[in-house]
Amino acid sequence: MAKKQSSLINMVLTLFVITVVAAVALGFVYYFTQEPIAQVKEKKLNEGLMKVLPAFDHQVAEEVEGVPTYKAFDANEQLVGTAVEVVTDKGFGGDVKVLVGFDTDGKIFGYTVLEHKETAGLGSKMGDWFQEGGKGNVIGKDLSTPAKVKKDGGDVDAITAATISSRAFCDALNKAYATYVNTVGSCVSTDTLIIKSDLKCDTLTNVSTIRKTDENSIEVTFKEEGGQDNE
Amino acid sequence: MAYILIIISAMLVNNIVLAQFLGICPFLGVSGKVKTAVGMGSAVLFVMTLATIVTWLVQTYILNPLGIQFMQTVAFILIIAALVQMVEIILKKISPSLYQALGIFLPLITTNCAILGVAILVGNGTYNSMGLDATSLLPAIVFAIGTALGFMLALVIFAGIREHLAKLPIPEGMKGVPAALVVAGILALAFMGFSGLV
Amino acid sequence: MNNWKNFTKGFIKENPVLVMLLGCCPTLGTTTSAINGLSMGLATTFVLVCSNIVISLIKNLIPDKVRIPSYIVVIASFVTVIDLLMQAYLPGIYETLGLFIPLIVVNCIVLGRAEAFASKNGVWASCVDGLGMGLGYALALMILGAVREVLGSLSIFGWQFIQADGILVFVLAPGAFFGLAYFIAVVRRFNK
Repeated sequence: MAKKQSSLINMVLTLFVITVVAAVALGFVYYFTQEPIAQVKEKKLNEGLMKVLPAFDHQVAEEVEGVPTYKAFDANEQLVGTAVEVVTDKGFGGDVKVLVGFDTDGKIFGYTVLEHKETAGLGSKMGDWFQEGGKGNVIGKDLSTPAKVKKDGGDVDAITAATISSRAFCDALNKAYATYVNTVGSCVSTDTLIIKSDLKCDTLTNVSTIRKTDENSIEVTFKEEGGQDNE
Repeated sequence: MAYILIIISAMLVNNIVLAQFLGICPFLGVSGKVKTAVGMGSAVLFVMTLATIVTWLVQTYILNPLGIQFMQTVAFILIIAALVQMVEIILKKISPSLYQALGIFLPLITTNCAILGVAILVGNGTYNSMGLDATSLLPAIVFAIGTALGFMLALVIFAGIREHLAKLPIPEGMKGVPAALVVAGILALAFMGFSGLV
Repeated sequence: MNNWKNFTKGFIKENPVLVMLLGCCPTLGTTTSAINGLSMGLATTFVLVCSNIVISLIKNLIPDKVRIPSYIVVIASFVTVIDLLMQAYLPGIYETLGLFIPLIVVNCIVLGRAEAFASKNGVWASCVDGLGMGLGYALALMILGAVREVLGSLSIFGWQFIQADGILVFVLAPGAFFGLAYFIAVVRRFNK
């Protein structure tokens, strides 16, 4: 069989036919792989959430000012924790993406580093360094006072020789906390507390005024420290 | 300001050849002399910037709205191949002398992973845009230019070193590509020093 | 050329990356560990075999002047297929290999074999050629990955045999260059 003539019509037609066949075939493959790919993403998310939150039954995802947050509920629709997926651009090698889980007291329950470009052997240690048992353990930390490395006057033990990565990590924690407070509200009192409908706090005392700010939240002002939720 | 940072990041911190391993084939094959290196680098600069603009347009106005992102690889590589062909034809007509100077490099550029690599990074918005919106056109163009400049930088330094290397006694087995790779490795080591610059 | 020779030439004598110096970019970028190198090699082999077969089948239907773009569409399609399949069924590896999966389409090996062999030979021979070249490539990547992994992370195939950091430079950029340099030199010596 001789090769086809390289006339313009033939050339354009051939290329067109090949591309259309390719597009259709790929469309098929794409269609069939969509389900597994979605499942993979879901599984990855749940694995991450299970690492950073207390045991939960199901989760509700919500974007708060562009930041993905996940509220975890038990089988009785009680909020057990909230996770925030935060990105900080203060990393040594670029963006660092961390999933931070808060329990209902607003304390850090767990974290997992999703993405980073930190130096291998140094900043990359942040996956374990700040966990329970690590030198810079932040689990259980209350972030109403922002987290800072010791060098900057805080109490977080930075990774040896990786201060910038450690600072970025603290920045991630603080950003996550800020979003957390925006999403769920907080039980840790300052002068005024905004408590949103999912949150249950322990006893609030010394309440000065309570008023409903919108459908889902109430605002509590105090005479001094302490608080109670009566939703 | 962020634009300057994008260029520094793309050119030095994340150098396309020495840190991301894209564009190695022309890097090893072409960089015997500084003059050829500059020629190749310029060709890449031109094609990379043009390709980034066109692929960005296709990604933003065709692939994303129609939900056919899976056609990215096919579409992009065809665009790049077509672009290179057109550039060759236009260059031949407009400036035969420039065509002579760049001519041999142009077909090689189609299979240059650096071009496709940058197009994909921009198309997916996964490059370091220094806080700017990675999905808009201007940061993308700046990124492409920065990357191409980084490619040219690596190429020129490399060519300069190789010009001297050619005069030295090197064991038979290491002559040519292996020695070149060792030099590249040392250069990569040096460029690692730029980490954390931005 | 008989089938066995056709198959084995890709391993040493005409090894795509170590002798013919094609496909260098993924070689440097994905050999941070033995498994990564092997996976990249196998993904490339998949594309190589599939595109060789298809191109060999349609070679007489394609006008000469558009053959390169046509081959490219075929190759790009198979690259997209393996990309989607890996995303769905091998997510861990997919994330590690990242950008290099779509870059298989500009891997000089694939287009090179299409042009040099599949466009001129029968389907079976093209399939064998693709398999041999691809596996030779995968083998080279796996070995380089293993060396870098052992020296750099003190582990092999994911099994950490010493709980410490190795000579980190080997799993970073410079190590890739050094590793490949000496690998090529050794194979050259062997081929003499």
